[in-house]
Amino acid sequence: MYKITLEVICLDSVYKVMVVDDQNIARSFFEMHVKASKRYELVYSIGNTESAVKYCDENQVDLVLMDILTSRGSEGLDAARRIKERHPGIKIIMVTSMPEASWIARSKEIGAESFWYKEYGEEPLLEIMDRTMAGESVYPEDYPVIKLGNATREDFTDRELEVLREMTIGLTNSEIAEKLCISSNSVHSHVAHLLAKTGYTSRTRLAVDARVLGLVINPRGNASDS
Amino acid sequence: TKYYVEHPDRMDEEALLDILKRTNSFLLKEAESEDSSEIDVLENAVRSAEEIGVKSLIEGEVPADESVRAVIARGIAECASNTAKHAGGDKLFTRIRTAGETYEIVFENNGNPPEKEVVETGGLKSYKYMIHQFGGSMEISYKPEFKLIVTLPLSKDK
Repeated sequence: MYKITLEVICLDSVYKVMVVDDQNIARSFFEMHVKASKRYELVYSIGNTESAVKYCDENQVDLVLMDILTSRGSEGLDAARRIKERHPGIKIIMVTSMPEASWIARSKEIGAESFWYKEYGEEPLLEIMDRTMAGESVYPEDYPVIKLGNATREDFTDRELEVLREMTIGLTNSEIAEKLCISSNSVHSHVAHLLAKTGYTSRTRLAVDARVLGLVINPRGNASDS
Repeated sequence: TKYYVEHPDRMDEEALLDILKRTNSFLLKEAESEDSSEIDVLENAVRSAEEIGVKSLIEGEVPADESVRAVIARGIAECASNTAKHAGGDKLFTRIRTAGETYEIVFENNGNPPEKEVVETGGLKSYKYMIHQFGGSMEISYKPEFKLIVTLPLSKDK
């Protein structure tokens, strides 16, 4: 299920871990795992990504468990990017409970060492942490299978997913066209394809279900923010 | 929005769009929180269990070692969830005793016993990994009732 890229390192230290998740229950879950392990020391646990980045600037951190979806969207990705730019030696495991289609690719682009699905991950979190600190890069090989009507993620093109993502914040076809720099006719066509593939007859219902299932998540909360 | 998915005939699309925008904003909005690294994980786990309707009762002397408490906390979180979801119970008993150089922790609940052997997947698999990494062992019995038995070494050097 998880694809492994091996490096060489084998370390025998206690690693300093920072947990970043704005949901208290999730953060508590991560804290339990870190505190229960001989190999890790919890040095900071926070819900705010700005504080997390600042903490890395001022303190030693070896590993970050970074939740992607925060109060203002996918801020976890931006925070991870900044940490990797400023402190390339810090290892990062991106974590999420959402199967949003683009996050694995974006995490790799940022240089996050590993990725773990909270809900779908078959491997224990501590195992992912151990393998990451041993120099492995651990990413899921497969996306969680999310059924949207008659279709799954694999049935959609990247552009269709982009259009669907904008639909979930209530944008009209012309607004989507402007944002994605394509024609309104193209948007109309993509929406028609989405409806045909899924079997939905209502674009609103399609957008609602896509968001509820977490197949696509707009990085911004409201249309007014874009 | 979930209501609309289940009862599409009862909702107006315009109203739903408005709900979707507000729901999206609500879901993404969370109060900022302070550093919680010093909060006791065991107390947190007991509180979280109560929030899902499972009263967690601990018998025996609770170890002071933070890492041992964390392993116990993880067991409470896992077993409370299973008590609520699978057993239909509302009480989780955690019995702690020392036996020589080890702690023995037994988790039981007041719900219905499993109908078949419990397979270690997901959360139980993850918990087992944690225990093994700690140097302990885990055993599950399901007849005549569910019992999770965890053995941990007394000392944990960091």
